[in-house]
Amino acid sequence: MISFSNLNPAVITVWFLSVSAIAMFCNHPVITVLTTAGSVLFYIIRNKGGHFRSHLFFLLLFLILSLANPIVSHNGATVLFVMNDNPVTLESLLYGINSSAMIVGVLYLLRSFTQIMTSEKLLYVTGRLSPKLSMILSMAIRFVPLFSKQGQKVNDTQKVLGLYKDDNFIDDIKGRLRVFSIVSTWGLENGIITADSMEARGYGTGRRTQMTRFGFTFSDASVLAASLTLTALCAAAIAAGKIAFTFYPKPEAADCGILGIVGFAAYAMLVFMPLFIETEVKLRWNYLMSKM
Amino acid sequence: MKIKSLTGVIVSLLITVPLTDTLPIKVNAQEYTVDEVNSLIDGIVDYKLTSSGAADIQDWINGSLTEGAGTTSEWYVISLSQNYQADFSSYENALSSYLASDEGSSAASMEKYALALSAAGSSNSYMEDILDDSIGQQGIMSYIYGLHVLNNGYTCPDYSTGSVVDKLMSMQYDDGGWALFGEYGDIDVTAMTILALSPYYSEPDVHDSIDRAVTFLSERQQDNGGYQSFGTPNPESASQVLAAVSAIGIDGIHDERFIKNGCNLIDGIVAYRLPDGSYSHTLGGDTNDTATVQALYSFIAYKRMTEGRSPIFVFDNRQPVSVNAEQSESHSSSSQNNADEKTSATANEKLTDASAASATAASTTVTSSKTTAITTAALHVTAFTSETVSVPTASTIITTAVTTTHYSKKVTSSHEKKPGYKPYIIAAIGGAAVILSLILFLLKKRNLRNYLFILLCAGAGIAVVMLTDIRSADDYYNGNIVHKDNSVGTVSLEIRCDTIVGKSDSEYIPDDGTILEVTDFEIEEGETVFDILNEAAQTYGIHVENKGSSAHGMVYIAGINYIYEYDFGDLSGWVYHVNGITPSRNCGEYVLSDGDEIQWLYTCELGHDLNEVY
Repeated sequence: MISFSNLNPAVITVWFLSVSAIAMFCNHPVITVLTTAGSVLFYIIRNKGGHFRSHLFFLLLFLILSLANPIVSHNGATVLFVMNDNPVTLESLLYGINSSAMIVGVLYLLRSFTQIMTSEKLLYVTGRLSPKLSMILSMAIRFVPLFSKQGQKVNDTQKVLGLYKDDNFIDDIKGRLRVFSIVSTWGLENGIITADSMEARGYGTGRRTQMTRFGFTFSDASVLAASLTLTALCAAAIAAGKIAFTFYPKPEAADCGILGIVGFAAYAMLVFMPLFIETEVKLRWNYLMSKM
Repeated sequence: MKIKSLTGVIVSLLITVPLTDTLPIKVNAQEYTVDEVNSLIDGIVDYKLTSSGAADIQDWINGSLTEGAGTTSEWYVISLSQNYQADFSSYENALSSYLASDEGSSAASMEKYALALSAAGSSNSYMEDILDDSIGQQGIMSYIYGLHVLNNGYTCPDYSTGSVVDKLMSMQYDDGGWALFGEYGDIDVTAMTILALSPYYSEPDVHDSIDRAVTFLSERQQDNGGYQSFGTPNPESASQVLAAVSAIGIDGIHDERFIKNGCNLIDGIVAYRLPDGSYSHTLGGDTNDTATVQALYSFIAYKRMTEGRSPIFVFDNRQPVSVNAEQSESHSSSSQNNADEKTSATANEKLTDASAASATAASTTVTSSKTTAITTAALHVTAFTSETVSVPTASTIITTAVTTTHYSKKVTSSHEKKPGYKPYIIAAIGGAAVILSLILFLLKKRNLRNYLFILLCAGAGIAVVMLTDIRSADDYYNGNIVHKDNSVGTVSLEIRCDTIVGKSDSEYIPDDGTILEVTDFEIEEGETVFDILNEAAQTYGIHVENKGSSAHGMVYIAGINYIYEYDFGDLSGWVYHVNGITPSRNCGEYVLSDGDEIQWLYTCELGHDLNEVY
């Protein structure tokens, strides 16, 4: 078995799409917990615990999103307190926690996705369908890291130019706004320039070829088959109403039955599958290394 | 087999239905004797003695009644003082000190306290002090109670008995009754008014007015001798009627006008008697304090009528005070003495034998009561709440209490505000700002702009706190019926969702589509449909979610009782009607006027499935 990130891009895409689809269309807390745990663990293991600031950002995002829901949504039977004649309820807080955990989980999943799916792989997957779409997709996915990299550069330049004092965070905020405005102008311009330059090089005129060859091995086939089967099982349980949860007005889970339990197990296996593959590959690698 | 068991079920139903049907209304007409009425009175007193753990009546007065001065004791004290010799001084002291620190009691409550003080034999000046500030301040109830106080011989500069009597008579409806609001007489209020007017029965216009009211009451008596109020049979209404007719010398047991189907007024009350001597509000219900105390004083009122003594609210144990000239002209103390002699002779005889005598006794009662007559009255509301009166009447309160459950109803003033959490939050924001500034100072970020920025943020935070109104759930859904001091009328509110009944198995959609049955609310000047909906939400614990800003009259009701817009299609949501008309105005802008009928209705088709009238 080869490492998950070295599988055929199509297989990886199928896995990501099925996990994120189930995660986003099912609000059952168990599904949410599995998604979040799986995607956060996968990201941490892949990055060996780095990116402390981004974890902090996601934690903050999680807290803000959880607390925002009870302020705007007032459904629910257990009233905590009443604000401007609107009840602030425990149920809407729980709903907020659940959905923000889902959002954070899916965001982690997408971060891993962008790390694994380089633009080359992405072009491989979507290029045959529509060259224009694949171009836009790869540019969009590239955009955020590029944007922050360029922002850092501009920021450093501004500092060197002596445009902010460091004893004053009003100037700091002003400076960052200025950097943001510079970078967004640059981003728009850069997008057009990239598109023009791709066109000038003849992108999209003929059938696309890849530098790297992505074969379809036995590993790919088995992972694809496993992903599809597990997704089908979980989707069947959701479609049968066995995995269902209502938050309002009182939190209540549907009676899950055997099919529901099978669905949960299938989803858990689906979410943790890349983790297993990566761990297995790593252990094997370590084992081989130890024999050298 | 199936058919056999089915017929068995049907037959057993056929057998049990008539049985259960007839049991509550079994005709149990009795000719009550004085002894039997006495034992009914004693039964209630014994019940109260047992439940308060007192050894005798004096012990009860000094114990729990003194403790409950100003809250629960008043009607018991008034009743006891009219039937027993006892020393009420400890109660009187407790009530006096309660009243010394009491502020903001409603008009009718102050008049009730005045009556209780008077019953306890107090020489406090409270009774006369409060009259000017209370009569007429709270609708018909404050006139009725005020007249009771005036009837006891107290005077005040602005009102005389004559002016209050005229006022009350002007409030009588065409059907002969009186009521707190609306166009038709209410049993309880009518009985209370008769009681207050009873001392003037001999005056021709009052005589005529009371006779019409008695006819009204007689016509509405039920087959079991009792009454129902707002659709609920209850003993309180019958108690009020018994006390009222006793005051004008009508015998509630023998008078043809108050015997229906062989059942008299006392039958109508005793049907609610529980084995321990107390009374319930509904058949088969638990002990109800209001029902019990009203039964107590109505029996005492009846007993006093047979003995020729003054009606229930005329306190014969206190020293007579100077009586207004206009009242005292027509009768002398000698007529009263005659009456006492005559009736004391017959008092211990069986009432059946004494009906002739009691008739004469009754007529003398009427004349003697002219000086200082006062009788039963509006405990119904007041005893139940110990607070104020201008609520739809107790029966509605009780009915709603029964149907909407788990929120005990109290009546409160609308302008009750708790000191609140705001000072603490503002202090916390200020503290956080100071700490942040200190940290910045220590980190050597000492540019003035930093501190200005923190000040700005703290100011914004404080502004947000000042603009939001946060209350705890218990505080908000308090179940209180709001009493408004400057009420300008009454509106009714109903919340229904008939259009979606049966469309979902949600437990929050009632089978009959009624989320809130027609309920009355007092309104103040400028109150809107939105305000009354929120009041209903608070009083009856109904979930309501609004969006937008009520301060600017731009508010949208997204959901009521967990039923939301879009729950039943893209065109579903809540709309409101006022007096059957669909207003094209925001519910936060629609200012209500007296008598408006609001309906909140759920629609599935943008209102086309409702009877919309523009």
